[in-house]
Amino acid sequence: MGRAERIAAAIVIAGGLAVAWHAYAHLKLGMMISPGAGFLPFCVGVSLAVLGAIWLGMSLTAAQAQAAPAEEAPAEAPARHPVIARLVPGVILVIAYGWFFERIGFFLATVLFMIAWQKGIEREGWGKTLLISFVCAGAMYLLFNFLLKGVLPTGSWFG
Amino acid sequence: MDIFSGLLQGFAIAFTPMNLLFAFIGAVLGTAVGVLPGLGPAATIALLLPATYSISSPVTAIILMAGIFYGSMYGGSTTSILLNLPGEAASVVTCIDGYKMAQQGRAGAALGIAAIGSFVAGTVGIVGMTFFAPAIAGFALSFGPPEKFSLAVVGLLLAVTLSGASIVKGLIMMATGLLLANVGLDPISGKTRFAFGVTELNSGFDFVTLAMGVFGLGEIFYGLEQTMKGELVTTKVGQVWPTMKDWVASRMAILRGTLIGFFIGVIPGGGAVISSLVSYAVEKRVAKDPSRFGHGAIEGVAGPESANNAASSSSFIPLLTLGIPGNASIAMIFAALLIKGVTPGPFLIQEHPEIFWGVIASMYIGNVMLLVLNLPLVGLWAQLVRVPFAIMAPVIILFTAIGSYSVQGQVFDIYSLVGFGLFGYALRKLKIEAGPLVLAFVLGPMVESAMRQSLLMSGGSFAVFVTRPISATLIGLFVALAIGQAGMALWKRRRATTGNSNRT
Repeated sequence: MGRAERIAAAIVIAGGLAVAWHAYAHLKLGMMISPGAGFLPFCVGVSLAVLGAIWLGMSLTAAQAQAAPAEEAPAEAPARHPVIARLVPGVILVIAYGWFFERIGFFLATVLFMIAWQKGIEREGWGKTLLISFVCAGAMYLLFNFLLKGVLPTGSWFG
Repeated sequence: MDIFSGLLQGFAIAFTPMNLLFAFIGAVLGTAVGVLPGLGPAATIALLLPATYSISSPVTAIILMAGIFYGSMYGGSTTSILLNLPGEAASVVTCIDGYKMAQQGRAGAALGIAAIGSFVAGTVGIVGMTFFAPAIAGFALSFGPPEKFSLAVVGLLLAVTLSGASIVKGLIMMATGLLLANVGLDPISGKTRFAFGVTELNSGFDFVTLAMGVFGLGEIFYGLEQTMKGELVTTKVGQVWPTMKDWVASRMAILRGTLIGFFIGVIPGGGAVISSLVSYAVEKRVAKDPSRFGHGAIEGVAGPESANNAASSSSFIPLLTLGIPGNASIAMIFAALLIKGVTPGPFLIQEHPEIFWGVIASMYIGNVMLLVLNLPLVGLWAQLVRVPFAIMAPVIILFTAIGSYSVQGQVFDIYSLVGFGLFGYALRKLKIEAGPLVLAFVLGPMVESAMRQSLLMSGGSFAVFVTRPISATLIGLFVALAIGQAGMALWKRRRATTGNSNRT
């Protein structure tokens, strides 16, 4: 957690400075009587940089205080880290779903997403996968198309 | 319009078949959400925000969302007591004695007292709201831009400082929320901010996408990483009506919990979680035998469960009277009102009395529905935790993706959703509360316009925020509270250091 916090704090500092610079250079700060479009973002950017520095300082102090005990190696390393095994494919699947959504249409994209999820992430059998995928896509279609009266794409690839 | 005629009008609205149906749906969904671990009320209301576009009446939309919010407080106790698995954060403390009671074969009594305490506290909270809210709204009518600015900023700062989490991280979230609210066209100069040539960003980030990403998708991404499967324990529920001995032991705890919850719920950042913790601490302190706590003391269930329900009712007061959402779930309801073209605040009671009184009346009805739903069907609700994550996760992802697309009909929102989902996941990993981010995002436009108007009024002097009495009082109260909190923290640290040195 300590290392992750320090990286996050550094990102906050860098982000805050970038925002403040952008607000100052590209958006107008204006005058006190009539603040410009960049005034609040500038203040927020500077605040973020200062808060990030405080967070970094606190994180470094905490790390020094806990530095004494050496880290023990885990007894048995997991075969595949869940971030790689489940989270990364999950995120890729959602992005792919967005990419295909308008191209092949809502229904087909939803069925394919569910099949990929059940087979690729949950490692389910084909029977269960197909059943869940079609039931889920059908339920989503009924909910968004009929009940919520949304306009869902039918697929630009199919004309 | 006086309070009683307003309330009568409210009941006439709440008793229409459509509003009754949506109050029922809200109560059922809320209980389900409270039961299911991982998916909190804020995430569920966020998931349902796209649906508000299809619900024509703003009253109906808010009745649905309010039902989910206070319903989740009821449902949260079920899995805490039966499975030692808190369905939402406010029920964590219920696990301590509730689960012990279940292990001792008294699950029914724990569930019964939790439901009855919730009903009493929720109803008392609504009664308090009925009488206090119009007076607060009347007072807030005199607020100008400096008062609005101070109120919004103090509300945000209170949400950060009282949340119990790291203040620095909370302030970072608050600043990030304000920054995200700045993306898009500046309403005064017409200049585009932080869009970097992306046309979809000219109108700024959509609140629905942000909320669904940070809360809904973020939760699912975090859940994907957890490989362990929850162990399902089935406990016999038995008789849900508490015995006379249980009643006698719990009645004062319910009363204290109700009062604690009501007053903490009104303060931005207070809310259900803090009130349940405070109530548990108070019950332990006033108990004749505090050693019973942690071993199945019924007051340890009755107090916190009453407190979190009273807080969920009273947290509507700052929203409906001042236009200040005090927590993330209320911020979602704030956004839903904005989507329906209604601005919450002191004018709501005059301009939209049907919403103000309709929502209040529906809460009375919703509380009765929840009592009926929770007491006899408690065993059924406990079965909900059997829904496998393998099905729930992709369904929620699809719901958020299609929901965010349907708001503006652009795929860009699905990509933004993934970005906010990853951001929400990172926040969970870093143990950062997302509440201040959402609150600041919602209040950002108001903060900026009130600040600019105030500076224009004062000829560019920031003194306007401390020279006007109401604004100065608000800031003064916050400063006093912050100093008090810092003093308490210093005193605790000094006491701990003295204790350590005495031991060595």
